Amino acid sequence: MSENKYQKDCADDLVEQVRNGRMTRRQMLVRASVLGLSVTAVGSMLAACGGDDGGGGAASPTASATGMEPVLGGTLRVQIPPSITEIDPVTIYDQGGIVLISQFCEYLIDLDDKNGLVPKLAESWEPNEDASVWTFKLRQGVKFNDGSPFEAEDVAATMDRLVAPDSGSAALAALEGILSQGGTEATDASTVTFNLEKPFADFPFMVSASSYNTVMLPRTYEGDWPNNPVGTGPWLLRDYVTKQKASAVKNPDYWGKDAQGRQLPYLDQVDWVMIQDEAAANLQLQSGEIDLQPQTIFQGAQALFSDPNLRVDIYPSSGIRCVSFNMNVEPWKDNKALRQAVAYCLDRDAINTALYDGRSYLGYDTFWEPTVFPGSPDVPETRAQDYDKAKQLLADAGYPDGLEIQLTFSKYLENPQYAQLIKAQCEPAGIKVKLDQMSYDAFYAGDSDVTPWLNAPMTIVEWGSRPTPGVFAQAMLLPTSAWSSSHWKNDEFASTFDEYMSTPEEGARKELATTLSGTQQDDTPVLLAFYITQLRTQKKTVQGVRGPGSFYCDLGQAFMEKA
Amino acid sequence: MLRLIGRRLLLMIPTLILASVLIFALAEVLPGDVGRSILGPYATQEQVDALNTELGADKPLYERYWNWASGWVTGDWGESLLLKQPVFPVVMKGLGNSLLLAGFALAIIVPLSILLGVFAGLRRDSLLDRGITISSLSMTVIPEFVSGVVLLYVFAVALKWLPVTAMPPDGSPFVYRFYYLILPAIPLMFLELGYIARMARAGTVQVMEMPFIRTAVLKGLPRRRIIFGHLLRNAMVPTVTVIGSQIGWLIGGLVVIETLFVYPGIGKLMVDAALTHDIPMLEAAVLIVAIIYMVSNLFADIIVALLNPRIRKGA
Amino acid sequence: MDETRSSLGPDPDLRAEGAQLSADPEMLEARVDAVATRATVAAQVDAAAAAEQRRQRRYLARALLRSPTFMVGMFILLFWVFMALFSTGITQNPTDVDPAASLQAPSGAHWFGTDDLGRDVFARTMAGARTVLIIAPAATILALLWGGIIGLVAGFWRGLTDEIIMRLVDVLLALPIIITSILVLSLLGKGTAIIIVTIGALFTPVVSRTVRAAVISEREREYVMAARLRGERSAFVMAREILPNITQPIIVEGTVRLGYAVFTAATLSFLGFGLAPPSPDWGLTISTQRVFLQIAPWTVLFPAVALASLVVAVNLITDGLGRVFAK
Repeated sequence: MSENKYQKDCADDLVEQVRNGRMTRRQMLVRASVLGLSVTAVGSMLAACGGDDGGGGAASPTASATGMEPVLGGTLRVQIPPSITEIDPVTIYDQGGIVLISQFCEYLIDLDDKNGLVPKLAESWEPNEDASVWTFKLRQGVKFNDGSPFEAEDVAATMDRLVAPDSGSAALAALEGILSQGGTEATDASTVTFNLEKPFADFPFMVSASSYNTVMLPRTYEGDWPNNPVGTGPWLLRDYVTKQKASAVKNPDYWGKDAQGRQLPYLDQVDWVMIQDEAAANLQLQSGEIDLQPQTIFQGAQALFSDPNLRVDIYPSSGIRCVSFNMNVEPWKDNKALRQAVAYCLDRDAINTALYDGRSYLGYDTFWEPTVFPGSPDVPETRAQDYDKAKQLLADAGYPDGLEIQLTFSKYLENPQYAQLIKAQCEPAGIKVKLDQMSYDAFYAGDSDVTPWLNAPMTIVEWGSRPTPGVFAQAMLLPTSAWSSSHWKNDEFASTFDEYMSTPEEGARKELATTLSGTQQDDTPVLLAFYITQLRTQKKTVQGVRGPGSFYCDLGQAFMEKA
Repeated sequence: MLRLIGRRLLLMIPTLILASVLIFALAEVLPGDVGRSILGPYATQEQVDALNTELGADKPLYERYWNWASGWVTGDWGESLLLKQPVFPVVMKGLGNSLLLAGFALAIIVPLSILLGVFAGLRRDSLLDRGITISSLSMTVIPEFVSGVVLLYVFAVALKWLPVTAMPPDGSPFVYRFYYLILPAIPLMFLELGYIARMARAGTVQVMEMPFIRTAVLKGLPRRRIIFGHLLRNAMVPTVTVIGSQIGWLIGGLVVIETLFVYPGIGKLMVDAALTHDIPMLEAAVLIVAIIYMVSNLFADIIVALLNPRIRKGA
Repeated sequence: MDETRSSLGPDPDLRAEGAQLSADPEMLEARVDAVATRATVAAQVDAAAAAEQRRQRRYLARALLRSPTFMVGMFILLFWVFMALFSTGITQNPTDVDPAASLQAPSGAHWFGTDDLGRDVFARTMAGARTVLIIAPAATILALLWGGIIGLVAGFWRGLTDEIIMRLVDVLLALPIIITSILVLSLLGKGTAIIIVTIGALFTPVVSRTVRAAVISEREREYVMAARLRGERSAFVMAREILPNITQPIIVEGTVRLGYAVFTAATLSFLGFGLAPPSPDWGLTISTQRVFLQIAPWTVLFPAVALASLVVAVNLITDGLGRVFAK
């Protein structure tokens, strides 16, 4: 496939950025994948860049597996948390459901270990001039496991289902304002055109494995997935016991082949055990009753790090525990100085040490964080703990003698520990933090105008990894965002953001990102003290588990070495 | 006697009705709604409202209760709102697992505790008696998550004698399940053993002081005959009552052990259903536990009546 | 956690009987004879004057001081009361975090080591007594108050009132305790006061059963009859005549409940329905630090031992009291 003029311009710009040292080769590859540039094009771009800056970031965990001869057959035992609801690709929203569904159903685009885009059911994609229309070429010869062929009609039906208001779709809120019903068109059997509501340069991510619900289902899909487990994936569901276990055998008709042309998947069978309790899951990993835990949380993982039989892979990720100041209410309303004062109380290094063993990336209250999102501009200011400045800002904010604030969070993951650290670090500046811990269910319960997570004065909300700053900002920083816990209404930011999203050209895009990043950090609607790296734990003999450290992982090329 | 049992069975009906109303009320006062639980925190409000209307969750409480109750009575326990599966098999599976664990624990606890209790009662105030009393007193009140955590650490992590889970891998013979249940059963034994032993001891002590035992001793009957002929039977009265009341508690109170040892029992099912407003699931699980509680109490009372001639005559 | 254990006291068979009696009036009739015989014997003691009572009290105090179980229990309890009141001045600050020194093994600087946020486990274990020693006694008093009133009314009036109250008690006892706790907690919200009320409410049905059984054995006795014949109001008879005569079972019930209140508060915290961080509460600490059991067992084991020692202490006191009362 040849590049259109627009893609060529962008490619030249990317090469320019790398040559000027403003972007690493690795970062360039990620951007090139978003633009849908072909392998040959990327190859020539790499040649044009010359040299090698080593990429940067953590070492690729699958690097150790490459070049190893896969062992065929065997059963892999995987631990996942039990799904909260029925497992239906359209409605699932929690880790347990997503990790399971993504074994049987596939996305148009996969994510690699570094959040770069990899063709899956789509072979290529390209935007129009302003990134408002995207054309996808589909892979030929793919069949659903019920025998029906996978075609453009299925993509259109799947996307329409996801943006339908009555389908219970968990992707609706994310796609709102970007794609609506009828926006997905089947041009011919293998070509799909997405006509977006507004230009969106990051659109390929919205139909990739980072947008969990966008797995492709047949146009005839009518729900009741557990009894009708249809998909194009490498596995066939054999057994499913709600909240307890699931089992799958390999799909003999799977379309996928590895680089050597071998039929995928390598394994014969995968068994999932559903365990909620992290302590119990860790014990099972160590006792050898489980081979793989796709997502490991840091609390208690120290025992796994030191276990001689286990390997804990660390993946770059952009998971956050977002602390939002609700600007609809006092004291945060119209009080930038007060929000900044809290930001200067945080010792981000110490938080990283306490919560993540020092293994996460620090954040400075902006989503455009170059260590996490390649190609982002430098952070305007690396905020360090500074009590003098915090006290000064407090005085400016009208609270020279300090004040008492309330922080609401759910008893989930490391939220309680993070909240206690915030409390302890705010104390010396004269800010007394009252902790308000809720159960997970209570925190997210209720209508949008009463639910604590969107309405409490100050909250900690856990967000999973997102592939770009734009996806984060779209979800929570715009006046129209459905999930804005801060209720930040900054028109300048919003209009710049729209411009940013319709500008795929890298140089101009970076300029706009600099403005956005500056505005976000200065106004401080949210505190982003860190971006969590993800852990994946497996037995040392388990190889070839692919995908970024998020809910999604690909077991198609996983295998177990003979002991 | 039969009339008495019939009366007790009849009395269970209003109790169950009241309990079911209370549970409906519980789901009502808990924050949030079922639509939100099904669609998750990130769904839009319009989606949640639409789903609640579809599920009838916005209808008045009495109407929903009536619909549910009329179904339940006719054996239609409905579908879990979250899992979209019939409630009956899910609850029964959970119940079966819980019964197996509780039954396994009780099968060890009951004979052992009665033996210890009667032994202590017969040698009242001896060193052995004090030892049994005090150690049983201490173990009874240590929360099972405390003993469970310590036991897990010692026997599963440090010594590696026992498995860390409560369920054997698929395809293992059934007897393996008991091996896997040893560790989860021990905290339950701690809780119950001392308690039941104390009841047996107290019963023994009291019976030993009763005139008919003294008469038997004075008549020179052999000690063994006294113990088995008179004492044991009478000392059993309070013990049986307590065991009866403990069965219901064991089944309904297993949530901590189930969490700790990853055991798919009815306790966890119940708590999850309560927190997600899954009323059909919650009602079924709680009512089953309530019925077991009441029936085991009734059985205990019947056995007591059979053991105790005075009560038998009175009825 | 257990609601139905009304009978941990010194005379458990009597109370087990009471519970069983309350379940069915007909069985009760069968047993009234036995109770009445015991009652008449006791009634003679009743005739003795107030001076006798004072002497008895002195005797009780001396007997308690001589009871090793009671004294050991008291010693442990007083230790924790002391720590709850004064540990602030003795130990490090239980909420001071130090991320650089997290999960350190016990040493001279940190006797019990440090937890995941680098807080001193010794300080937290000592300070952990505070919440429990407020919640447990307060909840017990509430339960005794509510259960006492309900039990008095049901046992004294009998008839339809009794029947209705006891059916309600049956319902509450038949519901799994965790469900009842979630019900009450979600009705009322959260906070220490709410936890006290919740545990108080959880224990009320059991206490009311115990009190009712005691009242039933008293109400047919001469002094009650006499008061009624004098035309005293029911409330007066209950409060001034019956209540003083059933203090012993109520005290024993109270200490039993106290032990279980500690147990229940810890379990609620463990399940996430109780206290919230940064409270050093033992149950909460065990629950949150449990994931570190393998790499830093001290973060879990010290609070666990502390919790166990307190409940054991309360039970030893109960046992001591029971034995002395029984003599």
